[in-house]
Amino acid sequence: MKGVYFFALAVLICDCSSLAQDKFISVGSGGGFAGTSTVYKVTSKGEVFKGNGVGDIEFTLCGKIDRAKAKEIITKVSDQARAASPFSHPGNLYYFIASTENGNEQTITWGDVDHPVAEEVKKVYDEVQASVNTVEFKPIK
Amino acid sequence: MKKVYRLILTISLLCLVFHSVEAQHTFEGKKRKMISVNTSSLHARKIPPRPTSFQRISQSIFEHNRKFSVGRNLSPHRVLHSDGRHPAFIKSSRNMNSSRAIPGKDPRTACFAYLEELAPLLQIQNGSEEFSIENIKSDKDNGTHIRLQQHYKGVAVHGAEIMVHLNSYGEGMAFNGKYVTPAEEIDVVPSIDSQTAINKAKIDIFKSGPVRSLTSFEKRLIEFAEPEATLCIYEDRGLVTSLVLAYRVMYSPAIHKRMEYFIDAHTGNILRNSNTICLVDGPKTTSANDLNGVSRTVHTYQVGSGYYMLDASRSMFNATESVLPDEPVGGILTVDMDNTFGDDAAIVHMVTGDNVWNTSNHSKAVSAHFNAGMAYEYFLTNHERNSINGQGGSMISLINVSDPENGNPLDNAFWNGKAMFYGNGIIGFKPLAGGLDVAGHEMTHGVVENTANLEYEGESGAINESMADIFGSMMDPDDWEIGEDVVKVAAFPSGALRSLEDPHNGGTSLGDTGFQPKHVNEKYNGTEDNGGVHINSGIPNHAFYRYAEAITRDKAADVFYKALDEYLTKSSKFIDLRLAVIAAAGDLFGPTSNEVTQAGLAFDAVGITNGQGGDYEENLPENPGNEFLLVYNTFQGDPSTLYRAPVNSAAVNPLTTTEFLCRPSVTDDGSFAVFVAGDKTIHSIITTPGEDPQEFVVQDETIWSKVAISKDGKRMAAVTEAQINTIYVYDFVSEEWGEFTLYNPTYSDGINSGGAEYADALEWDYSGEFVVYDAFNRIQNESGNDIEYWDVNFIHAWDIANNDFGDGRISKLFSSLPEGVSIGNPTFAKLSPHILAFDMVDALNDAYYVLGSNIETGETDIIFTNETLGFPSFNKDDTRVAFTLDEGAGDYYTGFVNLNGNKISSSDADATDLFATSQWPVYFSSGSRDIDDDVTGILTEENTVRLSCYPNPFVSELLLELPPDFAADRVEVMNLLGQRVYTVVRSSSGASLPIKLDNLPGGQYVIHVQNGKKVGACRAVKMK
Repeated sequence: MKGVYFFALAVLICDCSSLAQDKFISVGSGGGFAGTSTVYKVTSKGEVFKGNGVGDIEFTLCGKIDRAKAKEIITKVSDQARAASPFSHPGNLYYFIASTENGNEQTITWGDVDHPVAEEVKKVYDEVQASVNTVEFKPIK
Repeated sequence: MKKVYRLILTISLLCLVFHSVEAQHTFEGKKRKMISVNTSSLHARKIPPRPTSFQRISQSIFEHNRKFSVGRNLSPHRVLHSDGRHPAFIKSSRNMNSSRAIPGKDPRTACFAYLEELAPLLQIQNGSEEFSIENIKSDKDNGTHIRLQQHYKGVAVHGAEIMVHLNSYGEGMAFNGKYVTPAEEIDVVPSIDSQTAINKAKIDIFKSGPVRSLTSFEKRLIEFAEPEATLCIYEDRGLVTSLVLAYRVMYSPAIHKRMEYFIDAHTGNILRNSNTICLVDGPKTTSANDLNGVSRTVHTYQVGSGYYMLDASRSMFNATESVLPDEPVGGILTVDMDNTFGDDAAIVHMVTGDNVWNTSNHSKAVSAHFNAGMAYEYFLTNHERNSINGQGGSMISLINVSDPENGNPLDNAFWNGKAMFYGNGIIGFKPLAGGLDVAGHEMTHGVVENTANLEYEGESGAINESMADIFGSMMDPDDWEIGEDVVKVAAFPSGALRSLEDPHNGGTSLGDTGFQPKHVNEKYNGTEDNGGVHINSGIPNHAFYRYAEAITRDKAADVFYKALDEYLTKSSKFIDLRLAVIAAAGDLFGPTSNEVTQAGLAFDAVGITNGQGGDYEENLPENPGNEFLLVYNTFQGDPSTLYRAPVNSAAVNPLTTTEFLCRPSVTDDGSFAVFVAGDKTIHSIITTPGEDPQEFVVQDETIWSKVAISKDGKRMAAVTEAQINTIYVYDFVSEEWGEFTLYNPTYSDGINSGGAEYADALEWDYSGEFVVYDAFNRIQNESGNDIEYWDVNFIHAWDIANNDFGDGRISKLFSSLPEGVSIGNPTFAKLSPHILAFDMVDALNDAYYVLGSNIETGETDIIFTNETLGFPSFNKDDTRVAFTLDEGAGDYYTGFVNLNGNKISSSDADATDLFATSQWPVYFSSGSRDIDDDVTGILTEENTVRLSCYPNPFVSELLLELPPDFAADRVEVMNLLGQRVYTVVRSSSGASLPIKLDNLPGGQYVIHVQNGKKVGACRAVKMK
């Protein structure tokens, strides 16, 4: 309960300026009957933004992770995105990782069972998800 | 006497010795030996494996009822389902005003007249001789339904029963059932008598223990107290399915046993035995409340003391092939994921001991199960579609599904390509299994995947989502809303997730919950949601609503289903949907019907207005040169091996005496071919007519097995004779080898990825980026048994944009193949880069075929039923396919069939002969055409420049004509070996650039110009 309280305090509406100016990565999933997607963005400063919805969803700053960890994540996602992009094979339920720098985005989307993505990409995806899932309930210092 | 153009007219027929080429007339013959090769001298750059895709035929033909479908618009008979060899269900359309409709026609006469009408489809000779009428029933509409038993030479074929359905005019309306067509004569005179067969059965029964004599009372209660034996033709499904003359012995040695034996009437072997009395197991029904508190009748299945949420009551259920309860065939099964996820994910049966389903968890299963049954019946009743795959495939629903990411409650439901998954909801939804339209929506995704296979992205993805909503709403037709039974109003104030009637759904803009555009002028053009697949589906959703309001909901659904099944393709856009719906409406109701008019108005209303649809099956320009055929002579009395023959002419020209290990691969302009010689080195040979057929050793390592040259002649792909999962690609420009490791990117039931042992036949596609190849696979099924097969794959071998090796991503032509089936020796059509021909072997039935596939539409059909591997090749305008045929006695010849307009089938009953004692026919044309712009979509203008050179052929000086704004800072000339023979570094902008090539020997050369990333190339011939 305490964690949730801190999380609530930490929520800030993002004006997206920090995302626009920074190199950042995105990971997310969505689709299915509902069509909603849940997306996390991690900046090199360690800021973690979360968005949920359909279409151009609104992101809120929900916490921070260690800068070194953020840079490590960004490097891994960027490496995979650069190596594998373009790869766009969404299924009814889909997943993606994306690397954005200077407005240029490289995205890998998967979910079509007939077009499986590389295990390395899945590993990076899982690593980022693990990091951002732990940050949600931490206060921003 | 066959009309055969002899390759070697002067050779004595007594000299029956053949070139000792390595036999490759079966897939077994394509297998590699255990040989190690040293490829270190290639210094190949290793390209790490990277799963992804090129294009893939979404559904295997082996899962698809299109395989044996007849021309939809040409024949009144439509095959709705086949058993893999024969039509199993045929529907016939009748013109009721036809003069041949005679009310009161004798049903027996009408029945056999209908069978005669269907004879070409059924592949039967004489219906009245092969079938006898068992019974005739009439229905309330004066229709007649006749059951017939098949006989072979007067002996009943066990289990071969068909039904013929006549209308009140005595016209055949439908056919269904199972029958056989013996491949060879069956001796129907038994070698053992019936008593011997009975004794065999009795001995087998006594092996399991003593048998008590029946009392006289017991004897009165059972049918086969004394064993009875009758002769029949029995389909023995051993290692190889065969038809056998057998005795069917029925015997009840005890009151609870009724044994059925099939004893081979020639050998006395027991073919099968079973106890045909089912004590308790079988389909049951019960009533239980669903998630909405509504009492539903659900079909369950009893196995022993357990009742399972398994519906084996539908017409698709196949009891023979089912292993219950785990592996039903044609069953509807609902199972529980019990909120497990990730590595701990587990699936358990829903099971009770008393067929009472009254817990909250049971209610979810009842909802999912009942709704799946409703969805099945909807498609079957309204669209004659037998389950999701159209072939009576099982439907599986999973309840209590958690978020696959983190195990949290799942606020969603989804279709994963195999099954329907229902979460229990959290914020936006209640348990999603409670929505009939949810089941309909998810099942329709499976139907889409098995029909148009619309790509789940952009407009095609929005049509995919829209179809799921449309048919979801058809199954739950009391309103136009989607998800109204499962959403939480706090999250969706309108009370529904989406609405076909009002896609705005109570909102005013995209940010509002549940809002969708209802007109193209509101269309979402962003990248989220895979280009707005769940957003922009509102537009075709609303078009459907308006159409349904105009012509009735059922009619609109019929039209949209026909559009989905018969017109839409993988890449279809909104405009294609409009055109498809109008075409389908025209088919169903006539081209000038109100239904066609209203379709146009409905799409007009949502802003999808009249226009040209996308052509995603674009053709290349035809090669303007003369057409030739390369054939490999196998008649060793003649020293020449490769011949070039103009088509439609008996004149042939020998090109070389070198022995080949594989069929030659020719450049698109026909200037030269490459092949692996008998000494396992790679050779090239000039094939241009009128030129000296000079031959070079391109690669002198004695390790090679197969090679293919790219259409532009700049690169070759090759495989060695060793069992290694590697394809080597050589770039003649950079003089570098790339090494690609093969893998299997997909999986089928019970089989994980991996297992690609080595590649064999190779061919480059027209983009110059992908190589299509066949691969030998050895994998283990769940039982730990080895399964071996050949399949066809695509590998990204070259990246034109980066002018470097490709990333090695691989995709498959078919995601799975049935047991015993192998495919290989693929080749592209000459004009249609989305059409392939290839060999198929069905080892279980010892059958060979040349098949054609359209990658874009997913259709595959039979071009020719062969008796050996054909190594097919398309001619220059794709009107013919030539291939190798079996002459018998180890000899082979070449022939061709004419193709139908779809380029994947042929109506020729037999092949037209080309050349005797020959194999590996390869059509080519000696001329240039521009294929880059038509195919790649990757080769961008900024990276390529158009370069031409003249005079061509030239004697000493060549003029390169460059674009005005292009300054060539490097010019290179390569010979056919890929060796750089001339280089100049200079800066010259525009006009003609002369290069002196006095010192070069005569022959073909490739000229490259470069400025940074921009490159251009042309080919020229130097005269001697």
